[in-house]
Amino acid sequence: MLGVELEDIEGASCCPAPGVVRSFDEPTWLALAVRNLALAEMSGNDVITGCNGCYGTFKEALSEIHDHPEKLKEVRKVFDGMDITFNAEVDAKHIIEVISNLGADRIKEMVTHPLEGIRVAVHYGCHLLKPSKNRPWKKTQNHTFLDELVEATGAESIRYKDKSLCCGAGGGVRGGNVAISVDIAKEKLDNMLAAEADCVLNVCSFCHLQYELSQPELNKEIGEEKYQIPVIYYTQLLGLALGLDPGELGLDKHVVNTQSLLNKIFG
Amino acid sequence: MRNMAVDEGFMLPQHRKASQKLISTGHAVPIDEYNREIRKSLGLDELPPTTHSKKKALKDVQKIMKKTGFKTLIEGQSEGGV
Repeated sequence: MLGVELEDIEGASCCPAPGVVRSFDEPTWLALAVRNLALAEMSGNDVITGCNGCYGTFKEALSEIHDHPEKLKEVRKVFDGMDITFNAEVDAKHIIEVISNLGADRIKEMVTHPLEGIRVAVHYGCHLLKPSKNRPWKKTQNHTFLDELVEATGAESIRYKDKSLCCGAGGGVRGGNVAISVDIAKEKLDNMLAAEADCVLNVCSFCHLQYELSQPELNKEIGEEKYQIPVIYYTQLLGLALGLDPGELGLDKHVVNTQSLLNKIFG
Repeated sequence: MRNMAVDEGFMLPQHRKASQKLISTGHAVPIDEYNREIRKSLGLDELPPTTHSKKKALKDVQKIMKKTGFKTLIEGQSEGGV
């Protein structure tokens, strides 16, 4: 529909996760990241990620090898004896970067089922935006590109307190200390509830997991069903606006039931 | 800084576990039964074409982690962490 063809990277591994692997051992992080980039390059494709953490890893790995050729030399030594060639010509993009490059106006033109009246709490996520010097966005803060893409579907991107706060999962926090991680998610969810959001919208698998899993965890803790905000990935929202079936978009597979959002959209 | 701390043997047990998963499967968060089912119900292969289903790829990734010393770093230290 968007004119973009996707192909899986055969044999890919974890990007690997920047929060744990990079902070544990940078040479391992770089070698595994470059291997994934090399697999894409060998198949004649650039990399597109749907996860902010993977995006951070690939953008920063590319920057490391371009700025420090001696690091690429070390990585090549690690690859010795393996069937991997790498010319460092591949690029890595986030799926929302690709959609953003198409432009909000183009998306608006394609929309057949405008999502009028839907209040969306947009969550950008940290690695999508930082470090700014290694990201393609026009601004370094107070970003609006994702809000614009949401509004292109006819939905409303609402204002809420501490919108740019982390979801609480990244940096090895969820992996290392679930209680602190869920506490950060709670702060964001409370702010979204106060702003009467119909859903939280993200563009990251880890932020998505965090909002999906934190809500039942919080409900269990307080003994009531307070946290039930549907967690939607941007392409799911876009799919609804393009008239795709909710089942086809996997909206019946979520941890937090998405029915309240679907009821509001379909009446 | 965490690179230095880990080098000295300071590592949360949960982070060590994620690293062990990376070593054994090529993924810090391996696919679980629930997600295998979801993939099937969406008409996808149960396993993605990653190190989960490509043995040679997993071998290569494990070889890399052995060469860089990551395997020793994670498995060569006593359990317990900070």
